[in-house]
Amino acid sequence: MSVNRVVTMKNRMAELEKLTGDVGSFLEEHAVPSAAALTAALALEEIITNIVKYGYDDNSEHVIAVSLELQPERLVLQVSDDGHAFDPLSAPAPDTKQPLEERRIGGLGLHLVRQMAEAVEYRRVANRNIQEVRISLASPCKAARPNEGCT
Amino acid sequence: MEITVRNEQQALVVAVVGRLDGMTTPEFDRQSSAWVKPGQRLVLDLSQLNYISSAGLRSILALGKQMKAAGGALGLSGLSGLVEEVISLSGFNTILPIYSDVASALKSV
Repeated sequence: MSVNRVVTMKNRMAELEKLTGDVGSFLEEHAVPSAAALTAALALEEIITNIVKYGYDDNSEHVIAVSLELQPERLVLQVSDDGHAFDPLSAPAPDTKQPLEERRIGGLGLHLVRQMAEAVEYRRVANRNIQEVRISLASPCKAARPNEGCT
Repeated sequence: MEITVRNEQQALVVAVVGRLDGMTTPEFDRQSSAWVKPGQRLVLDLSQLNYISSAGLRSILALGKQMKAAGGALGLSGLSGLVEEVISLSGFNTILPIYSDVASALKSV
């Protein structure tokens, strides 16, 4: 048994706040634990910011669609856009060991999503990029250390 | 996001409450430029911050670089939940000192 919702926005940063607000309300209505809801908000902010800033080769209006599927043990997010083909999984992991003076932020957002999600997948279907992010509803403590007691 | 600034033990303690994301970082950046002074000790109290994205990390990194260039010191305190996870996964805990609370930060920063 799963619950589904689709929300859309245009490729304008100003629309991101409303979309993440709508998603947040949906997750709250269905009693999704706050850790998973925050991870979902992070995934949407990072992925959609990347699409709006770097995904298009023109200045036209485009639609970005987000589908949510709430399964018993996980939340599945699918973000779909008609920008140029971009596989976020092909981007190199950022160097998180550089000293303060040399540190850059580029690539860090998608790195965070990859690390915090249960799984991230990419596919190109009929001129659309589809990024799928699966987020566990278990507490992060249990997900990271299943054999230890969690508080 | 709400920001409150107070002076404590000759240091600036800045509490950031709520969300530090792409929407709120312009306001954070606008206020933070005033905190950078030669030799300034600054503690960012993040105990009531419940969300940070890479946009927020970018702002904290920029502040850390400015503080260092000014010969000041920046520490982060009170991280929990998603904020603690994001700071750790991004390796920020290796470039900025992290403290459990403001009191212990004030002893070291």
